[in-house]
Amino acid sequence: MNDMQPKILIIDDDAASLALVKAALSQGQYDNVDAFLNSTEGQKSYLENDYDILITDLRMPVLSGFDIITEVQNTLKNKPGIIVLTAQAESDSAQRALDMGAQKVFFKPYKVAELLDAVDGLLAARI
Amino acid sequence: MLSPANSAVKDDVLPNSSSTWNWKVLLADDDALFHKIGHALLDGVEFDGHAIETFTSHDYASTCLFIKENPDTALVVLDVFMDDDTTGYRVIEYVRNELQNNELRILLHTGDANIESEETALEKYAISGYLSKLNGDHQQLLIKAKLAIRSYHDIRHIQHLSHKNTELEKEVEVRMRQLLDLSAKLQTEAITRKQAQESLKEMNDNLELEIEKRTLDAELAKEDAIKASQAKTEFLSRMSHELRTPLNAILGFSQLLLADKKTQASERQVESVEQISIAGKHLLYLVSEILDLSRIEAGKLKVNIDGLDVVPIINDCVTSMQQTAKDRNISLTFSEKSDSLWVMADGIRVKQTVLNLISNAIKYGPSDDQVEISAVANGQYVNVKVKDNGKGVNPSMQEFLFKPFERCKNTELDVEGTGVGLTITKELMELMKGKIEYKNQRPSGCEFTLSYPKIIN
Repeated sequence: MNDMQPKILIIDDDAASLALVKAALSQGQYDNVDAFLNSTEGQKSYLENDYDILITDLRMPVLSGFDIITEVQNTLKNKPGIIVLTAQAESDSAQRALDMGAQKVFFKPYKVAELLDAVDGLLAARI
Repeated sequence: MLSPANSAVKDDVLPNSSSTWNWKVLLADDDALFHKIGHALLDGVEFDGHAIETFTSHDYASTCLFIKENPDTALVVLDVFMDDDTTGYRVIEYVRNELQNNELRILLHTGDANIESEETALEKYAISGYLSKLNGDHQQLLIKAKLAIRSYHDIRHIQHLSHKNTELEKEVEVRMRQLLDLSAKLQTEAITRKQAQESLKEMNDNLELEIEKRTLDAELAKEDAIKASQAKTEFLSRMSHELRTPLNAILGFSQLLLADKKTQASERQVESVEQISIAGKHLLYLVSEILDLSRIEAGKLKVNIDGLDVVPIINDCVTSMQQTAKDRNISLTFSEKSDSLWVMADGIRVKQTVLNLISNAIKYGPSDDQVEISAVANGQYVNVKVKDNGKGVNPSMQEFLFKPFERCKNTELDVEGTGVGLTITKELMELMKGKIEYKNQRPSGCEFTLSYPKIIN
């Protein structure tokens, strides 16, 4: 495994959604990926490791996407780029997530190619 | 001289109301000489406009009979001693007690000097006076007779007045009774009215209570309906969210499979994935429609109005629907009259409304047909028309055309759709301050017109 590979963390309580992101990233040649269904396990992981990109769902039990964004923004020294994936099409949660520090929000169902473009874009901006 | 008033009284005073009556004076005496003297002195003498007429009697029986038969006798000059020395007193007793005649004036005429008995009689029975036979002063008879007649007249007059007074009193009493009756009636009526008023008030109060109760019922029913409607809206909203998550995986993995250049999938497998993708997109479209409807019902559907050109949007719609049209062997044409038509609208929603009409025309129109789209500026609007040659809308179903889930019933049930497309389109047109109109075409087909507010240069 190449150490220069960008490190990506995915947190989504829906298994199919999690698998899709993983598969999409794999197709986009991103293989250094950690994926968690359980948001507290995801939390433990980002507190212990540095990630380049964090891709998270919003509505999850125990820790919501908002809780995660807040913690990441307030406590991590090396802050990852944040992409939010949500099925809440009508609420103002997208704007709220952006206001809290997310770089990009996608509504489910999103176009896989657009998600990969966003990941590429965020990584390019970090160099 | 007599005053007319007195004369009028007099006519009423005496029993005989004719004007030719006389003052009747009875000379009761057993002495025929006195009859002659009295007659000579009194008969024909005028008093108060009427003549004195004298009559005679000579004993108790004839005297009493005359008085009984002539109750209008004014005066009797009564000899005390006729049948015996008490005849006069007995006559007086008879007149006053038996006949109850108190008006008749009595002038006692006596020959003896039994003044005591005369005075007793005078006190006992209203007697006008007495004449002494002893002094033979005949002039005294005339004067005393006239005085007695005057007295008689006055008594009758007083009686008359008293009678009148009694009549008046009776009349007053009758009137009083009538007034009392009337008052009682009015009181009864007032009570009846008051009771009616009270029962009316009671009815009114009951009615008010009933109205209050019904209003409360209606409010509760309304609250229930609102709650039910909110629950439905909430359900639709949640359901569409919940459906988006698995749809995300279906559509996402389809995209990955189709984009994977390294896959060894056969052509048939690729086609199958394409079918999964198409079905998934269609499902997404239906879910979006339901979400739109729940937004409409919650009053949360919003549009972002901006100046935009509808021509390229329509071109996009036509292009994206060509394949669907081709599947039913329908030719889809857009006759452009202008290169650009600028409106104030929400671009995404314009596309949604135009697509809805084209999709309906393809779905509900006959196959092997043509669907024509046109766009022209007309007054303050840009009108986008979508016309097909199908059966049109059954006129009895037109009122349901824009109602959700109706699907107009006459359409074939195998045509897929939620039945909310036109409801959403109408709502969107209204939000964009435009309108949607519909008319059946002759001989066949129907035409929908979307009018968007034109930008006035």
